[in-house]
Amino acid sequence: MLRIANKIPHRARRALSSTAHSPPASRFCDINDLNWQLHSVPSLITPFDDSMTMPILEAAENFVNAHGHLDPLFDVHESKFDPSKIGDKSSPTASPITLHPETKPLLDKYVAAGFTQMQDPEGMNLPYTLSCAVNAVTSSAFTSGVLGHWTLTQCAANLLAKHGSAELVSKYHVKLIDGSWTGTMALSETQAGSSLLEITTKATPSGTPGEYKIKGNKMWTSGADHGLYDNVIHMLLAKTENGISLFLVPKNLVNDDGSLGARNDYQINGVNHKMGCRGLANCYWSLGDESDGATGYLIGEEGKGLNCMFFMMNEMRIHVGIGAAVCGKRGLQESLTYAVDRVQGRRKQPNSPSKPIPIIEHNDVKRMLLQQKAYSEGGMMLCLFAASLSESTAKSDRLLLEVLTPLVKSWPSEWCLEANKWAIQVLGGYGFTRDFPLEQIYRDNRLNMIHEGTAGIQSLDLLGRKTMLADGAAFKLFLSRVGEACERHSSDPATGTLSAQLAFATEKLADTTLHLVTKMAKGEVDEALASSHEYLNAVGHVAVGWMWLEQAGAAASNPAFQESSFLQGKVLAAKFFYEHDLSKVPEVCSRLRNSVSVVNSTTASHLLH
Amino acid sequence: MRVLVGVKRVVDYAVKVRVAADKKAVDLANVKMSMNPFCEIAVEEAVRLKEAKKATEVIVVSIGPKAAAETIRTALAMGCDRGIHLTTDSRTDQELGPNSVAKLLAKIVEEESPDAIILGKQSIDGDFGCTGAMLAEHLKVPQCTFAASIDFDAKTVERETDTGTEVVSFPSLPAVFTADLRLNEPRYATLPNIMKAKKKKIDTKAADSLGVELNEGNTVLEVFEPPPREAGIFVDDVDGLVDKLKNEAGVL
Repeated sequence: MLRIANKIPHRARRALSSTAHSPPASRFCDINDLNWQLHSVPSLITPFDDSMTMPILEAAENFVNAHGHLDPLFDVHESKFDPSKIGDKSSPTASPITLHPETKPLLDKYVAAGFTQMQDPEGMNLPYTLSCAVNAVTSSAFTSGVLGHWTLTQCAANLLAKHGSAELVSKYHVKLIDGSWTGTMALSETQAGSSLLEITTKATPSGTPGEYKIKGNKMWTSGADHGLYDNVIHMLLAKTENGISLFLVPKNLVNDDGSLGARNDYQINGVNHKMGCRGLANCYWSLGDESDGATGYLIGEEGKGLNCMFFMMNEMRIHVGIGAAVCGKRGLQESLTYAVDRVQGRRKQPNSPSKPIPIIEHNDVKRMLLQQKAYSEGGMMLCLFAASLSESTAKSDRLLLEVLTPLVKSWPSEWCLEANKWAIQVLGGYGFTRDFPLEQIYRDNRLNMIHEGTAGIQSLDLLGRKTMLADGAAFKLFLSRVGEACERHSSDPATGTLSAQLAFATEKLADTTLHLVTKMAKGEVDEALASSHEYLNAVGHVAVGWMWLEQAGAAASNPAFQESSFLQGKVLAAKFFYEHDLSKVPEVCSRLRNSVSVVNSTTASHLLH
Repeated sequence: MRVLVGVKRVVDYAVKVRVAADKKAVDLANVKMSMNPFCEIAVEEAVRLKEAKKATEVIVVSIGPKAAAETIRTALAMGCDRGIHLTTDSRTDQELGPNSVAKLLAKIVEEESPDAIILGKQSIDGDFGCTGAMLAEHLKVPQCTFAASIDFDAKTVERETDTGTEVVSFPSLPAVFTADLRLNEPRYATLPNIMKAKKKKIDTKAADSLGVELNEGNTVLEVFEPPPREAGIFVDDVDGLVDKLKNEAGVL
């Protein structure tokens, strides 16, 4: 009853709306755009029944429309930590952490709707790219990260399935994908964040094959405990005498018959009080305080932990990119919803009637909306493209993905945060209040530049490693794929100018890359890497420029182009991105090529006086 | 017991409709369409009967354009067993009215002989609210409209009325039931069920092949938007308000 009762006043409200423009169909997401991106741009097509895509995206939209109103609760009511409950072993779920009471019902509904089974090879087995698009819809309403409980669990399950022994898989995998237990990634320690080589947590063989005793501490573990589900399965890095290795560490030990045994010897010592993403408790914890160590089981080989983990990290990096692009798009939807209703100011044209108009008709507001569209839809396409490459088995696609991964992680997280800045700006003072969701979205999105490898780490990965990967073949492949796209779209009058602009920027970028790589080869590594962040953004702009060229090309060649404001909007957003953002790339490239880095010439004492 | 449910594809409840340029209809170009909300309730009721093992089969029927197959798929994803799609090029929001729909459904009922027929109480496009009653008349079976709850064991239906609910009994099955707001809260189809629905059978045939004369007896002359609400006025005091209510509004 509630559902339909909600519908009717909603419909009535729409009907009474006095302005000439309809607000976006959903203030959370835009499944038509996602469906269009998945189907209209040739490089994203994966073998799948196309008629199923929209029903699946609609199911995700139904989920956010039904439950999206809960998210501010998870933001306002951050997790509570009760130190008196540290070490409480009275039940499998006993935990010092309490989350908002709506958390578990929501997470259960997410499982019941089938979202955790999307990638199950025995179940739905959706193409990874489509499951990413579905995640983009479900996460659009839950920027607090509450659904991260299941995203992390999914990653842990995939990691276990790929590298774990048959015995571990049979014992733990089902429970991780059927919504009984949750999973985490436990990498960082207080003294070892970006540099995992510094971890000090130690694992020693217990005598039982595959079993280890682990002592140490972990930091920044999201979902390390929650008190909601019977078990938490950590994918944890610890050092053995053969180096960094990966372990499965359960909160509660599991007996051979699958029943839960004794509590493992680790304790949650506290939660980090975060700026955003408060729907997911982030913990620091210690292992083996009360015994010779917490029990863990080796996954893969000793010393190969980082290799195993990077399998999951790359997937997480695509998730982070999508999360950021989703926040950018959400900001656009929210500010569009406001801009069609907010009547303020009059036209400046002489002879126009002096009636106040909705602010969406003011040019500066249109600029802010277009900027958000350019960043968020361009960023989303980059992420979906990377996801489709990760599904491919072709060697060249995997190589291209190596170059794109740092961009996918970093570009949306920097530029869709910028998009959220403009979303707040559209609402003016209201955007700065907690009565509207944009300040939460901005805070939630701010994490994305930091976790799963900071922007700085990504820039070093790109310039310091990926440019030289496979003797430079990976980066050359990237440049040639962009070049091919420029070629393909050069003859169409709608995209010809864009193609020429992108080709010019790419040429400058190739030249600068060669220059920086040569510098590094000559030993001037610090000088070259000092520009890594600017370089990262230049490459990112070219990559997103490529994505916009593909979208503009697909839109302009669509037979419905003349009648469709959606398709025309795509070409305009592409043009806007080229004018406002891509146009800066040649200048940045020339500077990186021709000047000595100010950063490298600055020492700590210059900053400290 | 076998149950037949009718579903209708209508303009989505959230869409702000516009009048077409020729003022003969609502503009349907590029408009989101979904299952009529009251039909969702009817489907839910039938699926619950199946889950409670009271119904052995649930058949879903829709009359509409090619795209109405999507609406049938939605019902199949919610749990119906198979679908029947009567295709027509007539506009189901105004050209093909309740009596034509009732006659077509009656033909299907004769072929399928279900024990219970559950429809929504009305569709949110035409808003006639009489298809169920007309269908019962054509079939000469009992009708239980505006149902707030249905008890097939006791053969009673709680009906919504303007002053609350009343309980009526029905003598026998087959009978026609129409679903009101409080009958249940319909579910959303889960992803695995959406995938499975793809494999369920939909029997498609042309509506005009059933030998039913489709003649509504009424014609739409003009469609127009409601007049915009006029600005209100401020009254100086309570006496002023009472005066206006008495002398201008005539409600006191």
